[in-house]
Amino acid sequence: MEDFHFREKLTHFDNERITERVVHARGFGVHGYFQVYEPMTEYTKAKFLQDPAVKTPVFVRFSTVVGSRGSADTVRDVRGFATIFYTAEGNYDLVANNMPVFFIHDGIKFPDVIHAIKPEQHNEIPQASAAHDTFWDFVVNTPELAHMIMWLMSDRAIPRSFRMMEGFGVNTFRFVNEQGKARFINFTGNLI
Amino acid sequence: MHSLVWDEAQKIAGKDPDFNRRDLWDAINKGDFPEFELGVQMIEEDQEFDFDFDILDATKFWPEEQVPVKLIGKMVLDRNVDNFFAETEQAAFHPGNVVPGIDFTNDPLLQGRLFSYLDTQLIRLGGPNFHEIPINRSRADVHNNQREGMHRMTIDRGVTSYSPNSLRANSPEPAGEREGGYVHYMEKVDGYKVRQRSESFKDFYRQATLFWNSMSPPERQHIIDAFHFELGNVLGMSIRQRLVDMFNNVDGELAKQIAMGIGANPPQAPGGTGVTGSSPAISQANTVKTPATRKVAILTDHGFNYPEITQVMDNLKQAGVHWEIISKYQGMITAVDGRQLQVNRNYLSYRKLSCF
Repeated sequence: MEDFHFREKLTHFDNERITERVVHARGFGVHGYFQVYEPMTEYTKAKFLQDPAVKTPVFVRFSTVVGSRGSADTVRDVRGFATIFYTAEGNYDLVANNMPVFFIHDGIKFPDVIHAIKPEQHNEIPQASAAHDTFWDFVVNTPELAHMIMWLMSDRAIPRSFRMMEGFGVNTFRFVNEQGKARFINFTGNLI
Repeated sequence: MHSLVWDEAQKIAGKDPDFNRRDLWDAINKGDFPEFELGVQMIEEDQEFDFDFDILDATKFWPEEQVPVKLIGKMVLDRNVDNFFAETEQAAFHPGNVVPGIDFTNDPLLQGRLFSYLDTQLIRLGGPNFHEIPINRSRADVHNNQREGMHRMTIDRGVTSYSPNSLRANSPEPAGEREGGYVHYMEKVDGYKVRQRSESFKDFYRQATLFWNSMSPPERQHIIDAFHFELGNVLGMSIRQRLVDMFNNVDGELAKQIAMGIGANPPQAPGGTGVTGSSPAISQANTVKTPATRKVAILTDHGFNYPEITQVMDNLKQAGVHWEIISKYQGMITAVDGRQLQVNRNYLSYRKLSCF
């Protein structure tokens, strides 16, 4: 035990793992920048949406929802499309998906829908797939999922490339301008 | 917009489980930077109730045909991470991270998210200071009295860590509105406070019908196939039957087609919601069609025609398509005119399904 080279190396190695995310565990991040086309002053006072000359650094993480960190990319699932904008006023996170609607409309049901879609608790099967009894049992008892299931059964759930899918903010936010006037907004990420 | 078909997706999941991340990594390394446009749909406050769906219901979308998308800027992704764990794994996203000018609504799913994202990072990243990890750190100065905790990085100077104080002229102090600090939107609220969702949230099927109406014939077939795969893996026959009846509320023909594939009875009740409209913008048949971002395998061997192959390469490059030369063995291959080309992969090292 007096060999501290051994002890420190092994101790660090033994503690290298952190828990994976409870959802969106498998993801891939890249850096970039964002530029606004024209001042959005009429709609919002957000500084990063005013000056077309300003390049705001961004970090974007694309992900699947259900699979664990080592699961496959091309499973049938929603894709996360989350962006941190490192603005002069602090971080703005746009935590989006590649579909505009969601499974549920009340946050308290989130643990239920995720428990139902994740591998079943008795045998941890199947990995990264909704094709099993507990998920569809939840669906049939929760009619608010009907709309999202249509999107999940569509080709949008198996994108060929993160570069060729759309993004949607899912939730309704507000823009507020300098005069305090607000509007309801929904963000979209569009292909060029 | 490009998607796989289900048979491809399943095969690729085995041949190359990193298919999507590899595609992004390779493209950026080759200088082919992905670009997206940020769009915004806006609804005036006094028009909140002008729609046939509740605009605060996250199981609904705002059809572009009803609320046009204004394209407001462009995002370019031009740099891969240096270290996956330090950056991608430690990134802690939170919808509550907003800047002045962007605010929240009474969307009850959003309200849940505003709690959950912050809460879940506390254990995953080991305490309340994860915002100091480089990938999460604000580029703007932070002035508050948050102190200590696991893995604190900042060395806070001075004697005070509270506000108000006289010892340091009330410093540090969170910025107020005049200094550009965040002030929440003042929203008028009246009515009873109850743990209940609005009646308008009970409209479960009408936009599902709208979605189905908007799909092209191949998209519809893929959706039916997906139901056959998913429900075909559900062992409980009573669940399958009830699902057929549930999706009969969306569309009668859809439910009939689902039932046929999974050994369930066709629905008895008349199907559908009566919604006849569609949203052409959500059909992939109507979105950007381009070969760009695709990857092509050029299969060749010794004795190839050099000008012919290099012409193909140039054409592909101009169309934004990446290529790889695949041959029986790696190394150089020689054309009929004696010129040589480097083989990227041999038949075995080449992930056969990686090119689409």
